[in-house]
Amino acid sequence: MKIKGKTCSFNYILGLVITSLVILIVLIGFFYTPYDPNKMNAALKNSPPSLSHLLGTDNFGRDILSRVMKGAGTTYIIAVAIVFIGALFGTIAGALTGYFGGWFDEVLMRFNDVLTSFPSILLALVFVSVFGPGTYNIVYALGIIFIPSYARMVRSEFIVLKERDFVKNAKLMGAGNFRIMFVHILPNTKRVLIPSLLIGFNNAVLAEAGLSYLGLGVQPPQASLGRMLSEAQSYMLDSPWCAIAPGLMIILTVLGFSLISGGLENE
Amino acid sequence: MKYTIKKCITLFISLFFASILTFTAFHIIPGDSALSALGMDATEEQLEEYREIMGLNKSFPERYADWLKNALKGDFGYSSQYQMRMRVSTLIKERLIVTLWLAVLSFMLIVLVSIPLGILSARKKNGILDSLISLVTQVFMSIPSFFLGMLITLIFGVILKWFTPGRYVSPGENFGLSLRFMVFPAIAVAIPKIAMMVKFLRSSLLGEMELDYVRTAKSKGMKNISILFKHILKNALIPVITFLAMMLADILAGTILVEQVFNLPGLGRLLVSSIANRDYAVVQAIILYIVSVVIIINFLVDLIYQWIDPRVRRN
Repeated sequence: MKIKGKTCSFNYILGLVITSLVILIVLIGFFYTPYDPNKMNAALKNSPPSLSHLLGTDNFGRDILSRVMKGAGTTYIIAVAIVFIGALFGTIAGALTGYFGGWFDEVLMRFNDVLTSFPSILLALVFVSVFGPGTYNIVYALGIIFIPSYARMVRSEFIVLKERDFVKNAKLMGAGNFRIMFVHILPNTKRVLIPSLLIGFNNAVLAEAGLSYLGLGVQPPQASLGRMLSEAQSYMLDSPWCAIAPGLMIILTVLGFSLISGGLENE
Repeated sequence: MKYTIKKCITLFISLFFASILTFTAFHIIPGDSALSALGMDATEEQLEEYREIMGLNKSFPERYADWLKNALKGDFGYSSQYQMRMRVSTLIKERLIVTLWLAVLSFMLIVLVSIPLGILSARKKNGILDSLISLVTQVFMSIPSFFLGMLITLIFGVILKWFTPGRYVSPGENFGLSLRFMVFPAIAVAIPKIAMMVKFLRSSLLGEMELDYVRTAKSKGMKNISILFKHILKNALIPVITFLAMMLADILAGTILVEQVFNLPGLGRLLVSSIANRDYAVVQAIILYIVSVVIIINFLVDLIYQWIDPRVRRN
């Protein structure tokens, strides 16, 4: 199949379709939900999917569809904030160390090596146990944890690119170091940076889900995909639909983005 | 030899660094820990006594030294979340076996399933089976392990009744039953990792297949299948070992969540409940345990790596 004159794989198209669908659901959720996502209704506790409640209701009688729409929005905002923090500071650190090198680079990269060898959920747990659970704290925690991987990637791109002719040209034209770094070299890293932003978003969605599932992230009554799964756990026997809907939303999100990023990398 | 020594030095620096990090992290917690341990009704004398016993009056380096000295002996002090004063080390010892059992079983599943699938996928490159495997791996990589755990509980525990959800049998008590119950959480931990591993192994094998020595072997008249098993696999598995080691860290992290789903009394559950109860002595000890295990595994892998691939030493 061809888009803008480029051939695209089936997986890439599938990824685009899935991602557009989930993003559409989330965007609608910001402006309209069928019911108030936090409104409880004792008469409708744990009712299975029906015409009035398409995905059923949970143990408080709250509409699952509305909660998934709002909750996915919360999860997405958290994930975007995490990737923003990680990519921004990671890019700056990677650009500086890759471009200038020297002992500063050496020290920072050793530090990076140690940090990246730890499972990120463990670091997040340390952070949360020190600063306490909550939405903002997991954004800071995961944002900081994401910095090293971006720093490492941008650094290795900078090391290669700074030797290229266009950089030498720019130097001869009298461009300053910072202009060369951020105007000349940085745009050339987008080939690897964009797929890694998508993968980062996926990891952030999964991390949010994990931490909120453990009860350490988003706090009730606010909905997020992980929080909903955590609440659904105790009612898995009687009302599995409470868990299926948010779980499926996570899977579709992550699947869509990883298919797209796979397609971008194979170009 | 020089390589080994260099790696040993890195090992000790990393362990030292990790211990400082773990210790410091829990000392920037705002608030008076004596006050939070004894409650608001405590008298000034009681608070002072508590501080004296816990060593809170000493300077930071002194406290770190004390903590590390005891930690090396396996003594992490007392837990504060239970009514009885439980030693952190006894608490951890009981739970460690559960987590270890789960981790080992998951690891075995990953190796046993992913290596044949990866080889199959690479051999039938771009065939129907390969495309199918790659789509399925993409899907499985997108499922969070704890959601998978919930689905497994629903399907195999509730509907099919192949195991009792929320029940744990220790391997010492009844090995067969324990295995039968533990396999399901292990599958939940393993499936996303199997997917990652198959994808990695496939690209590693395909990369090797394009190299010159494969062409030489082919022109000698060797059969494809014996080239694969005698030459390619040996080389393609080298990067896989590092990948597996990285995965061990991930498995340990995965057990934290999956133990929660299956209600297993392991380290992960203890960690989460200790965080919720602000039982910092336990949190510190568990973090230090897991981090040290990860560092030591990485060290061992580096050593094994240079033993099977001598090219590493020269670089």
